[in-house]
Amino acid sequence: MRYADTYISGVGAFLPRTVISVEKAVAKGWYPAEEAELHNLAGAVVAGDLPAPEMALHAAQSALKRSGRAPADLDLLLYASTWHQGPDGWPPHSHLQRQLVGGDVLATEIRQGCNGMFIALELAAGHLDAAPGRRAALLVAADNYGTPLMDRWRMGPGYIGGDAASALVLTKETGFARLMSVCTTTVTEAEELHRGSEPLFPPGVTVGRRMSFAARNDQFRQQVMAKGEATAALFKIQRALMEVAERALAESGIEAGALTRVAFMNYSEEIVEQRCMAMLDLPMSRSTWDYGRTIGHCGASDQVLSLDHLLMTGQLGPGDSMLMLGTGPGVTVSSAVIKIIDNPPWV
Amino acid sequence: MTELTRRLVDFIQENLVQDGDDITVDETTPLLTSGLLDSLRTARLLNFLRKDVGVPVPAAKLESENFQDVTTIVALVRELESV
Repeated sequence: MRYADTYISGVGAFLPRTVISVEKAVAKGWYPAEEAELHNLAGAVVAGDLPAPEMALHAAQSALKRSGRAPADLDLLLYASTWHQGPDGWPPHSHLQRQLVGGDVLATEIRQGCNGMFIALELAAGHLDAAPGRRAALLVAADNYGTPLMDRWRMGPGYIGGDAASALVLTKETGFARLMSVCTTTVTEAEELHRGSEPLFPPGVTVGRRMSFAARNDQFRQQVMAKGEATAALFKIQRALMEVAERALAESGIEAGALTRVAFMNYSEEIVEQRCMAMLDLPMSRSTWDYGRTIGHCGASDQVLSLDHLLMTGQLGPGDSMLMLGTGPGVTVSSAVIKIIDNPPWV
Repeated sequence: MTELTRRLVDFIQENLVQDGDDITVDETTPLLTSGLLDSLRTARLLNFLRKDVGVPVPAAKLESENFQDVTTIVALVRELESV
């Protein structure tokens, strides 16, 4: 969907200082050497026992401060998560309401896996447009994968999990960047890709079952091959990625060749190159892989962390445009285009 | 077998058949029902068509009927070349 007069006025990032290198993970036996060679990833940021909602609070405070907006002067708070945040049944956004924005800001959690920030962008932009006088929304994503039942080094094919938080302030008033378009589609035939052969009840975490998308992906392949459905669903995921990229660029009036940077998920070199950059006929030098490989796949935060990194290192400036692409369970496939219109005041 | 057919068969054999899979590719080898084309390998094939064959395939032409086997891909390439 194309957006008019919707801007980003603040970006926040929280990255733990601890980075565990792939080299160390291989030496410790946590990560297979053949995977290290195949995927060419460098390491993952690790938060220890710092709760995800605390990281979210840090990122949100930073984004709000940079936007110049008072914490209570918001119309919406959306909190994207991919993994358990705290006590089950307790909403993590309530931590940010109590500690930062107060109780008069409509708030909810977005549980849409690694596409959560794209869904939050689309919902927030629509919410701000829906009634006169609405001005700003705070979008946050955070995860800490250092829990029992999760193995960040074997989380899924071609990626390792990193712990981090990110935040954006979306506004109808002016900002340093304009949100041009956000598009999402779902490849429903691939719904079982992230479910595998697990039963829906009782939920795996309630019976202490380990979480592994790699194992579920393998189970899915076994299931579809046995049914004769084969891998057409996986073929359609790549088609959907092309479709949402083409649509977001067309809605933004930007040719792929004119993009300054493209942020995909922090996946292996081959996945980023083949599934994203080559698809757009762009060199890897315009990707964010060189940064992403150093922090790991940080849930719904990858693309916003890359945006923050590019801004802080002077790699994005006025007139530049950036395409964000991502996929998540469902299988949802999303794109967003932003155009930088001014130097952020905090850089 | 045309040159394009041969190039596609060779590319798929060398780049899409996984180590350990006992598959000898020809122009009628099913690519989807055999499980050869997943997201990443579909991307590899499309990038080969664009870069090495010189025919980019738009998303609108990414129908599974066009990627059943090498023969249907060759037909698609010929169709796109004629536009």
